[in-house]
Amino acid sequence: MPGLIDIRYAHLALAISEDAAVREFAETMIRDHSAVNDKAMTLLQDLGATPTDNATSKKLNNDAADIRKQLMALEGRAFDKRYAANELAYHRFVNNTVENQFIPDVQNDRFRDLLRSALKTFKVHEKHAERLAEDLEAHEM
Amino acid sequence: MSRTIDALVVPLIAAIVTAIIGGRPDLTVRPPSHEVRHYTVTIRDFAFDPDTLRIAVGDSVTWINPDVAPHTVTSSHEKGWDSGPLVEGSASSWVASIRGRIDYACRFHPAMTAVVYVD
Repeated sequence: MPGLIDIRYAHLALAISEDAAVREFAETMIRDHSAVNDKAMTLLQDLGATPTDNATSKKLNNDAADIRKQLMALEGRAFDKRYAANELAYHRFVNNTVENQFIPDVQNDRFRDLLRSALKTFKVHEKHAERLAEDLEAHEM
Repeated sequence: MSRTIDALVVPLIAAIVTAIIGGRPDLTVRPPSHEVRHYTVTIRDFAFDPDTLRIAVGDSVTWINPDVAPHTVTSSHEKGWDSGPLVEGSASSWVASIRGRIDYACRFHPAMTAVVYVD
């Protein structure tokens, strides 16, 4: 699930970053993605379905492992900027995939509605990450 | 004779009492100066709906969150309010006790802002 990947990034941010805005963003990612994941898992249980990996999710997971290694090697402002930039890129990729690939392919109406609702959340995250990245760059100038 | 006296005395006493107290006593219950109203704001798709309210002191507002994501209703006024985290399906209410413009937002999602004007 894309949310689990972002939750792991967020925990890393809470462990390393000392920036209040970055930490608040990370807490929001954990809070929101956990809520979406819980709702998705409940629905999947209701439907008697089990989430399975596909080519997209496998690539996301492999890339995420590399990115976590890169992040763990950073500290201070360097970490904050890399984390914010990654959050923006990650949400843009996921949102594009959910909107243009997952939602059109889903057969079940309830799951499609959940994905549409989740997409609204992820788009808000994308904008939030964009502002965070811009603010971090602006403070450097 | 006594019946004649009674017929005269009763209205006489009534007239004296009325004169003393300055007219017929008013025993009606007066209504409050305004009717207290209750408003609802729905937190839907990361926005407060409506995002602008005009209410009076004594009125109440209830915020309901049907979004999957948790939100807060947090005012910037020093005598304002903070709902704390509102998970999906939960609600929080506030009774207006201060006048003026009160801006509020969701602490978790900074782009979510709204305002209440209290008269």
